Amino acid sequence: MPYVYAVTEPGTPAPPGLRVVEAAGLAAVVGDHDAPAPSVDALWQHERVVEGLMERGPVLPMRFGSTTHDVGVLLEERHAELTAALERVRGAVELGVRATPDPEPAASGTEYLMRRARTERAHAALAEFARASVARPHAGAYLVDRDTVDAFRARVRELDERLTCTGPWPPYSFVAA
Amino acid sequence: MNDDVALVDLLDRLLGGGVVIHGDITLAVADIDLVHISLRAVLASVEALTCPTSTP
Repeated sequence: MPYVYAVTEPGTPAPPGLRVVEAAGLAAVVGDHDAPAPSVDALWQHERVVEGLMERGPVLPMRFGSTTHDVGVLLEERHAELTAALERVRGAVELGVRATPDPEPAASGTEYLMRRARTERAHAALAEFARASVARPHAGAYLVDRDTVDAFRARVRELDERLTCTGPWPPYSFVAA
Repeated sequence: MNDDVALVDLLDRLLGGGVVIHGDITLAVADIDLVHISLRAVLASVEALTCPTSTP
């Protein structure tokens, strides 16, 4: 069954070894292989394909393991939702922020909670810099304009030197309205 | 992508985010092994439990 990596705009060139299906004003980047077992290597292989598409225009990454019998039907049936999502993420990337792991595991419940609190305290301040944000228990995710990324990273450092900022990621956390 | 990426960052996104095609849930158990649960199968089971007169 075709494996779908991402939804993009029409005119996207196919990455090596993959093909592009266009329908309903959208494009899907597809591989003719089954979903691999989710080893770390397989996850990174999926991620590298999606990251390779990011420079050309807005990208909606698929969840790892997404296969479907008919890619054209997928695009047609969900074209309104997917088109709106592409516009929401156009010109932006995802950044992640979480407490930098300490070399030692948390020695107490208090210490564990204090580490999580570092992430939560920063969240409101960082959300101001972002188009959208998601607060997971252990990390925040932020949809940030490309030209605001450097300022965002600087703000993370100012807020708390024991926070780690990862990215730019494709906008996995912001594909749903 | 910087060097501080941890496995949790990757899993949050590739397994917890992204566009979902079907209502399938894949759960990670002990790093690599997966339990794959089809939402359709779960919903069918719930329906069978709550509507005992209907045939599954």
